[in-house]
Amino acid sequence: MQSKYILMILGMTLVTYIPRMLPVTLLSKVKIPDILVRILKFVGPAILASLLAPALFITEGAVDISLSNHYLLAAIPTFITAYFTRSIFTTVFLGMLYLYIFTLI
Amino acid sequence: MGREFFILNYKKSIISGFKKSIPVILGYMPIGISYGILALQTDLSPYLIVGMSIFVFAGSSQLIAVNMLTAQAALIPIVMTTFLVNLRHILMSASLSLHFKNTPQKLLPIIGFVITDESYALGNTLIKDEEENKGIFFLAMGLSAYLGWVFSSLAGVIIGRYILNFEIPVIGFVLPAMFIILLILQINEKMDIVVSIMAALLSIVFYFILPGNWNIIVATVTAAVAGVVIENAI
Repeated sequence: MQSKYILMILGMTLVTYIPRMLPVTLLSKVKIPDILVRILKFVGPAILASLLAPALFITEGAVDISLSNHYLLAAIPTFITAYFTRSIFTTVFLGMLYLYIFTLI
Repeated sequence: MGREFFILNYKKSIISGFKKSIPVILGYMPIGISYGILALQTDLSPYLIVGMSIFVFAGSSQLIAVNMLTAQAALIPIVMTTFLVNLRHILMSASLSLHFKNTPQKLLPIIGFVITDESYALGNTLIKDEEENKGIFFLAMGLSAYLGWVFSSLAGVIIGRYILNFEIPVIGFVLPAMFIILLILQINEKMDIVVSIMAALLSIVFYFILPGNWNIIVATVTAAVAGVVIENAI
């Protein structure tokens, strides 16, 4: 059972390490093709939006846009906090606090 | 300008790097602790939970993996999602490479390992002030932050296992909150917003069509390519 997860961790290690290591190591020698750079620039925001949307809008397998969806409600002040502070720590910390407040109401 | 001069200078850069890593470590702490607590709810053993922090060293990827494991996802979508999430580091790594022209080549593969969202964000602004040994400075900052990450997740495992034997519902929001701030940090132009909205909508639509977590990969690639196509058309 655990050996399956060791494989997963090895896979994750490779796909995490290679994108970090290759450009900083090789960039003096190799140039990334322009079209790839342009797609990559969009992959950054696109993957985060793709991950975020289901987490906020889908509860128990159905789209939920209502006041009982606390994640969606808490996301609004969290976005505002992220925009103004640009700090990972502050956003994560206050985000949890906002969610807590919405669950109390 | 002998050897001693360089050693002295290295020492200065190393100490400076350690000091500057403190805000990065503070940023990792809530994420690492949450990761440790959440990971205990999967089948991962405590050793593998900390092992993942030692080998992978990527907060968002590790939380995504734990989240997907909880949702019974297969391993290939987990690794592929990790890959796509980490593609943004290519651009960070490329932009940092400009500062490391005078850094010993042998250190670059290790420097690459410590590039994270947090170390990049802070390093990119601080590195300009470092007169010498920018590579050594970044490496010291990164390695110190790395230790902070490993110990934060270990702390999470200990807290989750021995101190808190109940679930804290707000911890589930760490990952969405992290996506929100990382998304905001990735938005530099109007087209980024257009691509993000397309990706969000596609991800929800494909969620109901595709099995597993393939909606994330398909939506991301479609929206990113569509962004380039739209740019070319304008």
